[in-house]
Amino acid sequence: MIMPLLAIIVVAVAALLPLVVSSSYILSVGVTMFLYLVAAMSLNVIYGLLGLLSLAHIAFWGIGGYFTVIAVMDLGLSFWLALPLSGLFAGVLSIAVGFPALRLNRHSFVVVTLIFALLTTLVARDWVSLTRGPMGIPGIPSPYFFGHEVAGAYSFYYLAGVFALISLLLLHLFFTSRIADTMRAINQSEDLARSQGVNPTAYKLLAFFLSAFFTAMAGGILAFNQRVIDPLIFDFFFMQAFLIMVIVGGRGSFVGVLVAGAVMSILPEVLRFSVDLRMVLYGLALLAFVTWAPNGLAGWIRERREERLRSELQQ
Amino acid sequence: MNSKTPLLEVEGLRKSFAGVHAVDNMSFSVAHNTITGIIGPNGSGKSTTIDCISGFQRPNAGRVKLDGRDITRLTPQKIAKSGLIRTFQTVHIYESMTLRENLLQAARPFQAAGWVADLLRLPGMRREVDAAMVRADELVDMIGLRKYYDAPTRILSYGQKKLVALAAGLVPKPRLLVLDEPVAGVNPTRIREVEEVILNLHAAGESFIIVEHNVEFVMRLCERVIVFVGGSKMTEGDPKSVQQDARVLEAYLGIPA
Repeated sequence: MIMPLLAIIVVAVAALLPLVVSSSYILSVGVTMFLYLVAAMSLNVIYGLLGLLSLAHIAFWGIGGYFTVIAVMDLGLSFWLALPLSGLFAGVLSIAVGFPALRLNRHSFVVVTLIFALLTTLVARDWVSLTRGPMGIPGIPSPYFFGHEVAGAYSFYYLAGVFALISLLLLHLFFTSRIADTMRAINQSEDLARSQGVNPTAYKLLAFFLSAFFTAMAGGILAFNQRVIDPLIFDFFFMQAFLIMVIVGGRGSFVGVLVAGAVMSILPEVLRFSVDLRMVLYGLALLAFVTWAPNGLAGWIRERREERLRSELQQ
Repeated sequence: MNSKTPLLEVEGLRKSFAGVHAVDNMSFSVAHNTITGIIGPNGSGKSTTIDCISGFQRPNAGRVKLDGRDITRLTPQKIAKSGLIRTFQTVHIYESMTLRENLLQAARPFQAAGWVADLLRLPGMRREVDAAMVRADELVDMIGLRKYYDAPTRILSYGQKKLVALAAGLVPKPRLLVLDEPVAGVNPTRIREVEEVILNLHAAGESFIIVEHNVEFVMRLCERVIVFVGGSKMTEGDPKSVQQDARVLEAYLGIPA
């Protein structure tokens, strides 16, 4: 009962925030947070539920950005159509990459996804006729929503916020479904799952598809918010940010990654009070987690609960 | 199906690793509604045979038929779905799930609801969960672990985990359940309980293959015992005649006949 109430309060506060806060700096931190949350939660599908570390995530993020921009600027598509199309495009690519990559073991999956990420960066840099190379594509037009121009921190706060709300609601539906349970089962013992009649490949491909689908759309919104896209969207900084959110939150936990994602998006900004020590403090916070809560926020809570249960049952 | 067709038929099975035949020309069959024991010294090919039957390893030659249907080169998941479920020698359960979740998960692949029904919690999915819950309730009482029903199985003892694995194997009511060392490491009073569980299920029509090192356990439970030596079947028969077979004693104890 507490959780839905809490969720409603958080959403309400987030929705009303721009009415009281006029700083476009704070609102733009909000935009980043919304997009990071969706990307981190999608990574949590493939890495959290199935334990498959996909470094291709950064590729889908960038591909979503480029696809949306090119579809709008060169093909003349509406932003609202280009965005879901970019998700589908990344999803189809994820199946094409995932099918061979998943035939091997977990370790080679990491390597194959890393190579895919490196290749997409090369393509963005060198296919100049399509992507305009390292100079990037400037002057991305604002989307129009029923005649209203979506431009500036205020509008994008709501665009990214509504996008995050819808995506996270869908992902929550997914994380609490039996499909996610079967993925957790596969992660714990693939042999047992197979001996019980589960086809792991189908679930892995679904997870990879979903994680590419949502990440690409988040990347698309990011590009329109920046009004320029260049190969820096493939920067590994994004990948490590998403990974840290999933690890600190607790792999496979929806709420854990949600909380960690929000905190980790805001923390570097809060730490700006000491510019020199900013990243050092961020690093210390991370180190503390790895040392004392290696299974993340959610894992730490679960372990405490299990300890209590064990002592209760052994009386 | 026709009761004259054996439930499981293994014919000329061969599996070799780098030229060493782990299993060679292995043939045996198992009738409907029976408990069949497989015994043999270490390295006699018991585990490899089970892996080949259940699809976890591909045999180099030979055929496996379940109820007359060829299942030789199917994947483990397809073999499971056609009604042959196996357990593992080392404990395989979902340790971070509760006992209840373990049993519900075992039912999942045998239910019709697809991903859409699951995602949207359609009525078909709810009915299936209810049905699985009823089955899980039966099984948890049978293995006597109701107290731990909603506890993560990680906190259970080794013997209890083996029981969970047994119950999970039983969830979909398989035609044949292959138990790989179900009582290795389980304490003796528990072993008696497991025997009772298996006999009750057998009376209700379930068929088992039991691979065990605990010879007394096998002798008490099984109506037929197959003895593996050196990768193929040496002999088979009822427990008593197998126990008195001089060759069996030799294989186990090294006493020349």
